[in-house]
Amino acid sequence: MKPRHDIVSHVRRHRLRVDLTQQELADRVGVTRQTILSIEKGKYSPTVGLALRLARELDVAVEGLFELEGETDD
Amino acid sequence: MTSRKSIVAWLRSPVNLVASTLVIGGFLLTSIDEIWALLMGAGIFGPGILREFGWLQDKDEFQLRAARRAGYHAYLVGGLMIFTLVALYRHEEPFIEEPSSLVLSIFVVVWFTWLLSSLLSYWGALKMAKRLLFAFGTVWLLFNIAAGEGNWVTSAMQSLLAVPFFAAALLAQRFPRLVGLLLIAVSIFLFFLFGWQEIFAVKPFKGGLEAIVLFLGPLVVSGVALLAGRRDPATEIEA
Repeated sequence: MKPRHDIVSHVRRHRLRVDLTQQELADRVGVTRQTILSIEKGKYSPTVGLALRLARELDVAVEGLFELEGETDD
Repeated sequence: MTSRKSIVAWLRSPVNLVASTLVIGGFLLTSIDEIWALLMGAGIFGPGILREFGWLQDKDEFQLRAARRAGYHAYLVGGLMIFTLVALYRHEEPFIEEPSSLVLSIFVVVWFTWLLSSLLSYWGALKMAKRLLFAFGTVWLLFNIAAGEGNWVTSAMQSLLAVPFFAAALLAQRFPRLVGLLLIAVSIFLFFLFGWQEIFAVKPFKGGLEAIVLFLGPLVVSGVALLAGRRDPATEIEA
């Protein structure tokens, strides 16, 4: 069994909703702007801790920031 | 603009300043006694060791992941290189003029693999290639200015050698495939121009690989990254 875990990120949409730049969000959650950029592009899946901090700053549930896409195939 | 900000941020980091001072100071002191190479080792590896112990927390989780992943890549490349050399040396009578040179070659390959892999993970192919080319062009520029020995006409003429690298960095975004191909072609040309194939002809290998890795490595890696990397405009999104 080979599970696929493609994470779809909605961080960019929520960041723009609260009118924050990548740098401002990065400063608030204690990471670099490049990290926010990589999360928004779906190239990096953050740890639970960072996901929770992002959710808090963007005033949204973690499930609203990230979505598990794909399926489990045999 | 972002590159300038990154450079300023890098320079403002106390960890980077201390590490750089140790490396440069150690390098200069090796002219007195080679034992000072230990200082360079402390500058290169000290911050990473402190981070792994949790005593230094200047990197975020994405940066640490990139560094650790690069460490695995460096382990694979270094391990393969060492086993190849051991097999070659045991296959026939070895000839080593200076063992430390061989060890240095292995170290440079391992370190270079780690550096490029971590940059690739962190920045992605296009941004890494552009910044490597800018850095390479800058090093060439400074080297050629210094080589002019005060003669400004000579320095200015020799500095023109850096222009193609800056041009490649600027054109990489628009023509990644073309620039990638050109970089690899230039690397092959320079390899034979400097006669570097000779070091592989020596029985079976006695060091000297570090010059090739440090000189051609950035060009080859940038070229491959531009050819293989997916064009991704989102990398440049600022806000």
